[in-house]
Amino acid sequence: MNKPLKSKLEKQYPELYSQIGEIVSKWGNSRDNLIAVLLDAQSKSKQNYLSKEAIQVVSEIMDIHITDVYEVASFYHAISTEPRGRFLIQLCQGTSCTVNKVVNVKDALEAELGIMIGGSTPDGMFTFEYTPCFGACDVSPAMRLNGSVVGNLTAEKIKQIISECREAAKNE
Amino acid sequence: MSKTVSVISKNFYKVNPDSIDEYIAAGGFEGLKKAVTMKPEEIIEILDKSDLQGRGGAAFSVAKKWMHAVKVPAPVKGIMCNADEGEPGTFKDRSLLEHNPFGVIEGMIIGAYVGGGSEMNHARIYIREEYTYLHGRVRNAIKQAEERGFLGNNILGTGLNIEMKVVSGAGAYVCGESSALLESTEGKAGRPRIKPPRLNNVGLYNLPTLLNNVESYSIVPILVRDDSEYRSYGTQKSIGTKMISVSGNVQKPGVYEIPFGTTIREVVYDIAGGLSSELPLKFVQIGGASGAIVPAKELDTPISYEGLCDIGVAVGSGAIVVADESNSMLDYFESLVHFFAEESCGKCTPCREGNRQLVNIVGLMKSGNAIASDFDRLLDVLDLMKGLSFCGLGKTEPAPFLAAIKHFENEVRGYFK
Repeated sequence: MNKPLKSKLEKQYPELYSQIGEIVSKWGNSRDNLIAVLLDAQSKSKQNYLSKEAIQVVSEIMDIHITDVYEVASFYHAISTEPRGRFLIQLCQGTSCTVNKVVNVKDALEAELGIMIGGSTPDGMFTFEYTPCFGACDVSPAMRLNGSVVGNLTAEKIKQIISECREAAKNE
Repeated sequence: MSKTVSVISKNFYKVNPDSIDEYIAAGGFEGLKKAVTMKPEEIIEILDKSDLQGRGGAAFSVAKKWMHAVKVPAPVKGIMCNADEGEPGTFKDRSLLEHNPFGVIEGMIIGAYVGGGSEMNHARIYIREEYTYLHGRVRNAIKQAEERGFLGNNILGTGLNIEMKVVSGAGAYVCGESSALLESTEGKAGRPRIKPPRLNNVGLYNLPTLLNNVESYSIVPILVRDDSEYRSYGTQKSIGTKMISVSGNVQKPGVYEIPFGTTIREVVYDIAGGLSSELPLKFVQIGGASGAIVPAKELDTPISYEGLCDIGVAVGSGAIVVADESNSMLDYFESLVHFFAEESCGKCTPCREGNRQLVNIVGLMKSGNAIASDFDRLLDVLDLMKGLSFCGLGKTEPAPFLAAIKHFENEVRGYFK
């Protein structure tokens, strides 16, 4: 780790600093590991995103200019610089899912969650967005729920999945 | 009789993809063992004899690419595998990594033997973030290959050295473009590089780099070991077999291996079980989101380089998305423009602004406010994007729109007042 001798950031965010420090030690601090580090750092966030502070810490520990780190973080779909829900629902808008009437699944999700696509529920539980094709066309229409593929979606299946999420959150 | 074959997919569901012992027992690494007794030029000759073309979509001759690699000697080289399969409707590389990861690795080692340097070569398999569930499997395969001496120092006593790693993407279609893929592998935003220099001169970490698709690498060990079965399939001009991904309104969507020359109709009705609805077929899209739209009347076209070329279509990634009569061209356009507008990297004006215009025009079509001059604007924008975009993303994007306008002109014009 290349941290400065007296890091202000480390004092300010000791937990985050040691967490990201561990991630960087795991991957190595050369530039080509930046994306892996950012993905890992994001996965540790309870809000499914990469905070401004996390970006600052990555920049300092890896000795990469903060603008560079932000550019990479903002370029890729898999990394979000805005907080997202505990459950991230990404519905495929690809061609296969379109011909398999993913629009009906979208309507079912909007009704079940009480929000429009592109938004988050006020309680911070769900974020619901469209995503480009993730190669699960054999089970279209499909979505990713916190990264895992759920396919062959129907309105009934959506109801069941959402209630399972709510149940899981209750027990946390 | 089954119309699918299993040459490239021979190990699927038969060989445990997490066990190098099972792979070896099924003839794995025999291609590599044979390769290291041959001269690089002799290996290239084998690839050329079967006219193996890149399976990512661009269909560039693998033999020519590898010959370039031989002609640019360097002590250290980059050996890249493009597993950033992002073409909508395409999931055949997913299958290859899932069911035959050692085959991909073996192909890369043969690639390094042919085009690598004498010191430690850097081999990277760039797998899209969406396939995170496969990263562990491929890393495990690499580890086992290292333990058996197929990777690392002095491989099979030849003096060849390779260190191989899996690199994760982070969600960006443009990273399927080879130079953007390298930028991303180096930890940067995935924007295409200005070429020249070509990647075979200045690629990964500025090293001369050999880059191929998952399927291309998977075929190499099969051909080197014994190319007779592969060569027994196909047509005169398209030798061998192809992995295809079939999806959309069909009974049995999935990944299939077909001999070149199989017709689109056979794929849809015999292999994929026909349509999933009672409605007639309206069109298929071949080769991914940037592939052309093929109307029902052209279903008897054979899937081969020359057969599809005759109707102005490319094999591309081998994706076949089937749409029945319930689908309007407008809904399909909407899916396409949102995809491309999201995925344009923003580097060049024709693609960035062209996509903004397309989103605008499709929005007008959708709300019923498009007028006749918007149709002309649509054609202008497509023409500009096709001719002036910096990389393949913007250059090929107009293909499905132009084909749809050609084959469904009345329907498309109907959206403009």
